[in-house]
Amino acid sequence: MVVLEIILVLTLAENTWSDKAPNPCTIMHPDRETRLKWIQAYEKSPRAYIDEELKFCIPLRGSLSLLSHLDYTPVERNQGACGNCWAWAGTGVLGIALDVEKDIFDRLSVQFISSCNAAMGCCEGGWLSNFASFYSSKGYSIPWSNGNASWQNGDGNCNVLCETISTSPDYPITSITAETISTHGVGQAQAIANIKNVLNQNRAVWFGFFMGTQEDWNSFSTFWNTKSEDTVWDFDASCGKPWIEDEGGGHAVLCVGYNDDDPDESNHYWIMLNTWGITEDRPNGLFRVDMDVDYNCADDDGEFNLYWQTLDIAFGGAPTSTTDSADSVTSSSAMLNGTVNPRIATTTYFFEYGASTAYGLTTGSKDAGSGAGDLAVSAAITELSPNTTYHCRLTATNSYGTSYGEDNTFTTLAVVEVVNQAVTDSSGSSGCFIATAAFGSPMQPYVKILREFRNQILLNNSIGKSLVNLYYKYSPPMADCISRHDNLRAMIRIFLLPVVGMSWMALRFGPVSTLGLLFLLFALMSAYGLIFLKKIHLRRHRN
Amino acid sequence: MEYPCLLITILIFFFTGFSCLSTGEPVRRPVGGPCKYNKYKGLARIISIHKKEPPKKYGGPSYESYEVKFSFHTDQIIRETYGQVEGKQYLLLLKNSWYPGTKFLRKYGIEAGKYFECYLNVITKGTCTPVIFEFSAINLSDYFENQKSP
Repeated sequence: MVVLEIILVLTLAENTWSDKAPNPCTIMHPDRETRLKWIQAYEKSPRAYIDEELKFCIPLRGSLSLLSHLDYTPVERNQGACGNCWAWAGTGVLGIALDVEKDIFDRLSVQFISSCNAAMGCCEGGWLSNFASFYSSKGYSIPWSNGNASWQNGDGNCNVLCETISTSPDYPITSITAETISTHGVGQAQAIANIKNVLNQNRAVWFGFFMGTQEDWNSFSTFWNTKSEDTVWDFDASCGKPWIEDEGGGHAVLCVGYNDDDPDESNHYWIMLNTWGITEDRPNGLFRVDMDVDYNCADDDGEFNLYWQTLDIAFGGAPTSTTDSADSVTSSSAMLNGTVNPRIATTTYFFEYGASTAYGLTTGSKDAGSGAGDLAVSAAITELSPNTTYHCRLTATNSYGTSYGEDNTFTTLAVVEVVNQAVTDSSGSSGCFIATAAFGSPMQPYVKILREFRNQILLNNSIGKSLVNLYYKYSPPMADCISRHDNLRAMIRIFLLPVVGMSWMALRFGPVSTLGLLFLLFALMSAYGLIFLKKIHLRRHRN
Repeated sequence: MEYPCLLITILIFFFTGFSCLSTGEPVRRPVGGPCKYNKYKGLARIISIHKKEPPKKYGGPSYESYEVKFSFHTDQIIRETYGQVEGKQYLLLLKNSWYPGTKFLRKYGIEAGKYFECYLNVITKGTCTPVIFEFSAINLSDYFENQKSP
């Protein structure tokens, strides 16, 4: 019975404290002692990686800014009346990591998490762990420039539906974890060194801060609205104050660098990027935070006010591949087509093909790059058998996996069909080899007439088709020879003129009429010839 | 009967507390969240309208956009020190932070020197953008200009 009770209690406890429950522990309104224990637990959570080698490389005095890795438009970096600063700051960390790790400089969508995070309201308060959970479950981020992905919730209304946001292209995320940078209980020098270490790894820092009174927030808002970007905010003034339930609040911003190269320590600062747009004196949306602060700054209940975190992110995903229809199919060759999305990892691709789905033959492996979007790829294959059905599929591989496009088939043509295909080519330029060689262009008007004659007259009867077949069998080498000799081309042009004329007549008056006209012409010429010969004969007799 | 209930209650508190600690998840207030504003009615005067350079990258509006600057004046007393906007210039932007285009300016009759009824929203609770302007006669969520005609 006792065991059952314990199981019941554990089950209840699990349900009560599941990640899905909104604000799980704050419902408890814990006493001071419990809250301190929880804060201790926070301090025991995973720590951000500190690069030991960097410790010796980072100068005691210097400066660093990761802002050049972030694609942002200051005036558009404005959360407005929506309380999702934590998501903006997290997206900044993500964007900088994307540029640093994958050399992709692109603005990432904040609207995506605001609209598509089913676990939270669109403008609800949150933390970096909420950000990491969302992207961990989604497995990708998307550019701001995607359809409906630009920021639109600045009015605090959640009227952008997730399904209206285009998720193509996307930037795949293999893993994402929120990490805490040790700043509590380690001393000021170590706290500064740890934050600087993370920044020097080219990882941006998510900075969350609390102030418990309206007076402090008024001061901060005044600082933001009336001071310039080179003035420094000092958090020490808000330490040790009470947390007043209706007045206290927290805000998150993006720490993109620091400057401590001034001998005067009071001029050492962290560079923070806010999400409150710009002001007259803050054209870049930045502010500075005094480096010389108490990193254990807490309210009078002992709850810390300053939190420094970052994200451990790995980008990239298995590629996707789609087999598209083959084209340029002849009796012995074809062009295989497909689409590869490398999903921001170096990807190679090849086609498999053969007479069955076992394939057996492959094209050579080619590089598809490491982009984020779809890439059209193709490969020519030869030495195929005529009148045979072939199977093919596209295969793409990168370090995250291999993807196989669906099986596709095509059938090579029989020889007669090759001829037909040549004459029905969409450009209409195929086939008239000799005339093209003689006149220099398949678009030359005489060549067009001959092509029309072939298509409309000859290929409409079996004798004509046989003639065309014979022509295609023997004419290519002849055309090749003609095209290389100018005199021969001129002769062929003259020879072809009556043929062009007859073809024109056949097209205009019909083949029967043309044959009739030709017969009449022949008869007239014959008669004229006979009369002419008879006259000569009579003259000889008279003489 | 009371004893088992008491025991269960103690166990629930014990294990829920333990659960919070053992997950390693920090228990703290979230940052951000709902905001409240004080609203001050006044007039916005359009100071200048200048054509804006097209954005360097894709993702912005497809139309030619304009930088519209305005100043705000109210007869009301603004209580918040950080809400003192008199004498300052602000940009008129759409709700999605885009600059307005020619058709938008024409539709709402936005011209230099003109006055529009305007509300100044000054934050009183929360950590959203502290100062936001709202125009009653200009729908800043009207994105018609960027929409392709059917």
